[in-house]
Amino acid sequence: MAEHYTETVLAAVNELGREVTAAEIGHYLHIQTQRVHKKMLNVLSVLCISGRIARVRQGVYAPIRNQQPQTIELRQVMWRVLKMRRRVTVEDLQTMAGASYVYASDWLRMLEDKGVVRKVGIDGEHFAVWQLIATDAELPADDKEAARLRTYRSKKKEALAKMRSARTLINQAIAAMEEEEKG
Amino acid sequence: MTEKIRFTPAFVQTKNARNFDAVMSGLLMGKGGAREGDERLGCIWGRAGRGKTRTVQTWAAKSGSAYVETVSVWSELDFLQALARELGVRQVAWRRGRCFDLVINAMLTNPVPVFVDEAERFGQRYLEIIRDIAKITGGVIVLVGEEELPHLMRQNRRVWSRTYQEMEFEPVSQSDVIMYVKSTTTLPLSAPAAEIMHKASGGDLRIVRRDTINLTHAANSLRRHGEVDGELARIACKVGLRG
Repeated sequence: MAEHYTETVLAAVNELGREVTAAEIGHYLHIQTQRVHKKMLNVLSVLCISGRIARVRQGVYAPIRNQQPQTIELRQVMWRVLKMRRRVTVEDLQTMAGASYVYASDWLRMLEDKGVVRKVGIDGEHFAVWQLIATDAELPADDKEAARLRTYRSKKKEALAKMRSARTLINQAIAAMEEEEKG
Repeated sequence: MTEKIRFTPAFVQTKNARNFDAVMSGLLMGKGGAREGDERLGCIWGRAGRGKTRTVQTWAAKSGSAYVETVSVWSELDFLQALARELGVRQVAWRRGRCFDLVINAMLTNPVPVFVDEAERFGQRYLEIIRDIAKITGGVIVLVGEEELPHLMRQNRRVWSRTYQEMEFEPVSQSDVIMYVKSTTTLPLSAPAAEIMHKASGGDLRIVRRDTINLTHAANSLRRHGEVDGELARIACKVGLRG
C-alpha cells in the first residue's frame, strides 16, 4: 500500500513535469486532510533521499530528467566533435563520439571527397589528422550510405511484393481445394 | 602464438569525468523545459592537460549542447555571433544588441546547456553578458577555464551568487592510470608499474596516453603479455619525451 502511494506521488511529480510546490502536488492528488498531506510530505522526503525526484529548495520539488534525453545519431555526434575541435584524428572520433575505427575512417574519407575536411598530416602517435576546411558547412549527407539504404529498400519492396502475390496464390489454391472437398 | 596487444582508444570514466557528470546532473536538476527554474552558472577549472576540454566536448557532443571556444582577439560581438551560430541561428546580426536578442530567442526556443571554454580570457564585461543571458533565459551556462577562472568569477558577486556548481579538474590519480591502461590495452598494471606511470605523468592525461601507447609497443616487442611489471612501465615511460 505504502509502495503504491509512493508511486502515485512520484507519478504526480513527473506528470506535472516542472518545479512544483508541495501544495501544488497535494492539489493535483486531491488531498483534503492534513493527515494525508503529512503522509505525502513523508513520501516526497523518501523520494528525494532515494534520488527519484529533486528538492530544488524548501517545499519545491522537481522531476529528475535524463541529462541526455534525445538520441543523437552517431554521425551527428561525430560532426559536432569535428566542428568543436576543427582538427580531429580517428582516435578522437572513437573516444569522444564512440564510433568504431572503420566507421570513423570511412566517414572522414567521405567528408574529404566532399571537400569538407583535408588530411593534414599525422600527430605524435602516427594518427592521421583531419582539418575542417569548410567551417560553415552543414552536416553532409552520406551518399554511399544513402545509396546502400535505397538498394536495400527497393529489394525489400520487391521481396514483399513477391511474398504478397505468393500469399494470394496460396489462398486461391486453398479455396479451390476446399471447394473441391465440399463438392 | 600469442596475440599482439593493441591500443584501442576509449573514453575512460576517470574520477574527473565522473565528477563532471555529477556536476551537470546537479545543474540540470529540475530543468526540463523552457524557462524552468532559475538561471544557473557552472565553473569548471583546472590546469592544462587534465582533460577538461575533451570531457566537456564529449558531453556537449553527445547531449547536443552548445559549445563555444573563445579566441583571444574576439570582441563582444564576435562572441555573441559565435554563440548564436552554435545555437543554430542561421543569419547572425552584425550589431551587439540584435545579436544578443537572437541568442536569447534561440536559448528560449531550444534551452540547451551552453559551454564557454577558455572563459578566463574574458574580462568582467563578458561575464556580465553571460550573466545577462543566463538571467533572461533561465538557462544553464558552464564556464570552463584554467586556474584564473574561479578568481575572475568570485570578483563579481552577482556572477558568483548564481554559480551553482564549481569543480576543479584534479590531476589523474593512480587508479585512473590503472583504469586507462586496462580499458585501452587490456593490460593489467601491477602496483609498482601503476606508481611509475602515475609519477611519470605528473597528473597529465595526455602523458598517460602517450606512455600507454609506448607500453603497448614495449609489451609487443618484448613479448610480455601478462601483468605489467615495474620494469616494463619504466621502459615505456623512458621512451616518452619529458618536459
